[in-house]
Amino acid sequence: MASEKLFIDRALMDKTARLARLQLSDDEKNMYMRDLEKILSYVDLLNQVNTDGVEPIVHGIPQETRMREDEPRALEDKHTKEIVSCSSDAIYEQYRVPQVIGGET
Amino acid sequence: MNYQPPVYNGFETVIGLEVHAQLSTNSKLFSSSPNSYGDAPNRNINPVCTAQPGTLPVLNRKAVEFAVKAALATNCVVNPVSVFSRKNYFYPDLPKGYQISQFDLPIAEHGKLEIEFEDQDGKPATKEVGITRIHMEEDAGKSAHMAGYSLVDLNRAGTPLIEIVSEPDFRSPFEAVAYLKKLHSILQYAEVCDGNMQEGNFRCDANISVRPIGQKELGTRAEIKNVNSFRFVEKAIEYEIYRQIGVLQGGGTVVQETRLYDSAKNITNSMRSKEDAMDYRYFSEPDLPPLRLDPEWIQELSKALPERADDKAKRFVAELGIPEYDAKVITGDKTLASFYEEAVQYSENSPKLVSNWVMGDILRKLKETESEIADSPIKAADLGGLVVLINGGKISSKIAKTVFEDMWDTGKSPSVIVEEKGLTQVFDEGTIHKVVEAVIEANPKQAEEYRGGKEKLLGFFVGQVMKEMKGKGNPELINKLIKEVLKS
Repeated sequence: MASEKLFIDRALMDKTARLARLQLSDDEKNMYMRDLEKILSYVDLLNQVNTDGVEPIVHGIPQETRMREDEPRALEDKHTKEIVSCSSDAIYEQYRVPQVIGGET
Repeated sequence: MNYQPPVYNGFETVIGLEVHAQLSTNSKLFSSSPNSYGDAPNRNINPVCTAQPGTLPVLNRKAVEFAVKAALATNCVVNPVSVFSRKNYFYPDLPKGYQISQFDLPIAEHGKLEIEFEDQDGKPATKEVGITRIHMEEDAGKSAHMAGYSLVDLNRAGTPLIEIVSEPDFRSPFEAVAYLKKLHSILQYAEVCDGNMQEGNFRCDANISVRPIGQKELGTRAEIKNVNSFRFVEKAIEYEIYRQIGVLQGGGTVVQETRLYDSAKNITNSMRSKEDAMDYRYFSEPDLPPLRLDPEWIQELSKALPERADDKAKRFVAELGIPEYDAKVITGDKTLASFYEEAVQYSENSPKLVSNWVMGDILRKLKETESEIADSPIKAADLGGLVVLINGGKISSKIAKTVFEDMWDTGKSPSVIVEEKGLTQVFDEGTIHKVVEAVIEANPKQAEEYRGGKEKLLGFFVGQVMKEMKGKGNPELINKLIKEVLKS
């Protein structure tokens, strides 16, 4: 299959940035549009390979997932407090974030 | 049985259900943090479930085992290979910025369940419904919304869940509820989910659409999220059906959206989500290679699956000889079924009498006190003991009722109560004879009439003697002695 040049328009660029919660300037958007097109075109080379009869893979490493036993390990309070204290804002041993009501759950 | 689904003002409804069930493992899905409810905020956390840089998920074997058991119990095909994927979205209670879930290759697919329910006319009906898929995923944390800010507790983040997605096979709220109850019971019986709805162990999202009767294409659906009681699911769906019909009949169009049920007002409200919210950009999880399941292990799990509710009910009918109706009610709740079985063991082989007490007095008390069988102050062994006292003639059935009340109030064993209160049935002929004579003497008119042929009055005398003896006299002896004394 011949590969076509992939085109990223401004709307797709805007959407991608919004989904990634990135605030980009116009110059940055133009730059990333060009970069993304190059990346996609490169990956698109794969479409030129005949994959008839080849089983699709879902992972880069030919391995199966390892499992662990269901043994709980509670951390000491001082360590769990330490974890919470790594955040930029915490109160009552909870993470404090800007008000979020609605949105995804 | 020829079930015809209900018609709502010329419309029919199409409902599909998604159930999130928490798996009752000891640790989380991908980390060794304890999986427990009700602890102080942010205690059951560690670097993995709080997404500290450089940490990696390691899958909990027990969670996989439980997911497979749930799949087998719902007649699903377990996929020998399944794949974890990232579902990307931003929300403060999701530390990684993605949820590890399963997308194109879930752990199980193509299940089915037979549901039983009462139709719109109260007639019993059954129906087979399809289960599209079961996939494994991790739960998010919890946000509490305060004035001006929100607080995030990550104790729940990473708790193992299965999401069970049904086919859009339901045509009424009561079918949907029958399915949820059945599924709830199955997961409890399979011992994979505690099913405590208040604690959010078993949560339901309902996809609802309506279409004019005869129309082939589906209407636009709305999703109602996270309803946590069977009663509210039924009400929320019913409200939503009429809301959508109202919109269509008013010339409007139904918007595809997520809605929240407000149980206080019994309405659903649109929960506006931002545009692009549904674009989760799934891709396979690079941190977890595919999950391959050994077919022999699945076989083993299948063999070790605990008895299902339906099978238990059949066994109760066959082995204990109780009516099918009793067996269905008792096995509807796994804890109740265990309570019943234990009580029977202590009843010296009186399964039917025990069932009468469970179906009658125990269920009535639970309803009155709005409690669960697990909280019953009466122990199963003591209920069995009560039945033994009745069968052995130690107490009458009437006295047994008061003993039962005492057992409920005090938690004491029936023999202790009978002993303390002197409730033992009187078999002594001499004692009963004296009372019988006194009663007849006190009621000469009735005695005369009885002797004149009005034999119905026997009941009157039995009642009087029983009253005198405070219910403790043996009824057969009382009957016999009254007849003798009146004849003489």
